[in-house]
Amino acid sequence: MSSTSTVTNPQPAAVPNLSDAAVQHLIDQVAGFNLYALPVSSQPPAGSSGAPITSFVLSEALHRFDIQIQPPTVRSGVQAINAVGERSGTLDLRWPMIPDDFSALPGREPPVTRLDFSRSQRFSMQEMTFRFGDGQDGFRCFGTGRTFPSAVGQQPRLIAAATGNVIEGFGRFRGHEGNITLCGDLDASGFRGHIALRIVDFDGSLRTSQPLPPMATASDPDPGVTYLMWGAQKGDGPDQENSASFDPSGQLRGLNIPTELKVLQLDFAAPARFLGRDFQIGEVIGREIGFGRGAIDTASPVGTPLSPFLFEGVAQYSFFDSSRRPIGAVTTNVLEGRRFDWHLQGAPQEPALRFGFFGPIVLGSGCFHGIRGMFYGVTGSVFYPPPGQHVITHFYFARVNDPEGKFRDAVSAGGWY
Amino acid sequence: MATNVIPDQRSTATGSNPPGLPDVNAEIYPYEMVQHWLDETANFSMFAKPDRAYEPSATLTPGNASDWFGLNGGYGIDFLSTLHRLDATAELSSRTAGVKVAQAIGEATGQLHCRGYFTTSDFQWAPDQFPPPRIYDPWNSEPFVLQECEFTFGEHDKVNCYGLGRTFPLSIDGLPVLLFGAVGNITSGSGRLKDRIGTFIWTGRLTPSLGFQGQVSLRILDPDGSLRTSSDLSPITQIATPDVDDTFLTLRLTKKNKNVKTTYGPPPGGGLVSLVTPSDMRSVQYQYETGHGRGLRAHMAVGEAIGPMQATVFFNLQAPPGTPANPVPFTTQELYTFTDARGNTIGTISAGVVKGISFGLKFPEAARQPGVRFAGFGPIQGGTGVFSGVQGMLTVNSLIGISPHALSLMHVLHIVDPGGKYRAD
Repeated sequence: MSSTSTVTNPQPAAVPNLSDAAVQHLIDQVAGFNLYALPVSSQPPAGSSGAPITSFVLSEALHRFDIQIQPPTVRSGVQAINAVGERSGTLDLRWPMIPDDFSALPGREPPVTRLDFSRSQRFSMQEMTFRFGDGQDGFRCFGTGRTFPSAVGQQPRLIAAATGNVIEGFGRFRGHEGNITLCGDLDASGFRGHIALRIVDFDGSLRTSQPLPPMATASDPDPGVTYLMWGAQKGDGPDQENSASFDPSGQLRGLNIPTELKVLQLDFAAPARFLGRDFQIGEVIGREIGFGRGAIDTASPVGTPLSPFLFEGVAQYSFFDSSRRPIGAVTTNVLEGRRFDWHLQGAPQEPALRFGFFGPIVLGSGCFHGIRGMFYGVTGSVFYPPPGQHVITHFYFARVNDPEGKFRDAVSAGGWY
Repeated sequence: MATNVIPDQRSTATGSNPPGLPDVNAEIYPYEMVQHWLDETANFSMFAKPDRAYEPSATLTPGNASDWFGLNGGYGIDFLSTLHRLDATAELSSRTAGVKVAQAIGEATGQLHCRGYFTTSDFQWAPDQFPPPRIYDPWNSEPFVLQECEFTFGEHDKVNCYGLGRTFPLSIDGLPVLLFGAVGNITSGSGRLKDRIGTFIWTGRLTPSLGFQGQVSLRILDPDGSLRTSSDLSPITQIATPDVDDTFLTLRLTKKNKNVKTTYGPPPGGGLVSLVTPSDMRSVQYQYETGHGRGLRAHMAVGEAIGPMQATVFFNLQAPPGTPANPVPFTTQELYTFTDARGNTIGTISAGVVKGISFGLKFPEAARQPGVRFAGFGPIQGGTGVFSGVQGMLTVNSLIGISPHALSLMHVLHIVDPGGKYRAD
């Protein structure tokens, strides 16, 4: 996603105080991990009383979730292993549906709004309490999202995607800030899908250098969907320079930002206490070109927990193999991006940003021809307007309708191979 | 529609004009003569099929490949479709007591290339202005501007157009469908289409590859008859049907005769008036072809009567006549009533134009005769009888006289019809 700052006017590039490498090290001090949420079957589904659904109040099971993108090849295209692991926590949530123009805040109750499975609607994540392992470690967060009527094959689905911000941690998460983005299916039984988390961890209290317990793989809760995950960071050379985009009248309309796409690995475990790991980012597997802008022209450029900066944009993610032969590309639109300003420990003067975002995949080519799905992610960066310093690490995800398993690596697809 | 040209004659033709409003039924020229002039158009009903080979080169910033605002599908759509002959003839089926459309897609006859930009809801028709950007959201009904739009027939016959459109997300049996309507005006042309006046309208779908597939009506004034032929054209060479889940019920509507009067309805407010206009629907073939060494030519073959239609048109009576730079907007509410041979109602469709543009119309033979050329689109709102539960879109591409209020209406009811319920085949 290219809209990391979405300046409204380019300023003279400030002189960075730290090298790119030093900034990269700081913004990467995070616990990044994936969860798979599943409704708890014992609770009555929303609307079971016959009344219209206006809110989801549920307790869900959180599972360890492994997404391993494989190096793209001409033969296999772009594929990922998806493995849902052992139950590792719980999520208590309350998601009321909200009107399109509702300004959501923690504690602000929306007018009663009926869920309509036939159209896209907003919801607020009024309560989101994550508890890991034995329950000592966790956090609460707040955010908003949207529903998206969709289909996998001929099966109607209601996709839910949302971004949230950590507002209070407890146990090992006490004092940590961070953000989440989720994407999955919503039905009367609850939310079923992926939650991506990026929790700032300057003191390392969320991460261990010890090996994590092996994952106890559970059965695939949704074989018709595949999740892809990759990272993105700035590379070197003129190909990676940011630039301004101007409309035909010469007015600045946004920023063009390229990155390199890379293999990314995230993991955690919570046998009793939460144990995170440093994320691993590896070989270059593609290139991003993207355009981003502020979604509201008159908005303050400052992003706070109560009033995050709203951005949008379009980007194309092109994947190639080890010989740089093109494999496939997706074009994605970020409909809702929410950015929070934050401070790097030891370098509070740096314009640091963290953000989450989601939107549809609108076009695919190559191995992605005909693709349907959602794109989303969580990111940390330091950004000066072009030609200034820009250091960034994206955790990118795609939830792909995949009833034929085209994007599943055989290891997770099962069967003979 | 622009009707400040309506003579303030206080005609006694109906005796029902509200005070201060002109009589649109008065006859400056005889009704039959005006009807004849209105029908002097070349009408092209076409099927647009996406050209997959164009997709890799699609861009919204053709002059600046390194500006990624231009990524196709982000802030707009750049597409190329081949234009095919289309027969979509409505038939009253005595066997099923229903309405069926004999729909056949024929050989390619040209191309439609468009570069449209999504924009804000308050953006109005402004051919010289680049619209404020808006990100493409497939789940929201979004307006867009056709900044570039070119129809090409053969090597030399082209028209360039400017227009406005809108997406319409629908839920069909729980599955999302995105309809795509647009209306526009010819701004320039070449070959046999040089210096032409005309209007286009389309309805269809955005495909997963961001192509456009659907029905296009192009209607070009042709007072000298150079684009028309009075004889039937060669039969359609039907192509292998692409995945078409849509039925295009194509209609010609006129008043039954000069004694059918247009009346004023309750004023809708906002300085607008409403005109209640009854008409008769007929099946029709808007045939055309480009080959056989005779160039582009069209022929209209009018078929059986299939029922009455009543339209209520909302517009600003005081606005000056619409021009290519500043057309006059209008909206409508329409009720199509389909009847069998005995006049019994077998089904109705209600629909309304939500985006309509109109232009003042002049007749070379009659400088004093005012008229209006107009086109628009909007969603089907519902149906009864054999059309119970229908969803889709209405397009209108029409000419009318003012005093007398003669009609020459080219309507298409686009029915989302994945099961082919409304197709004769």
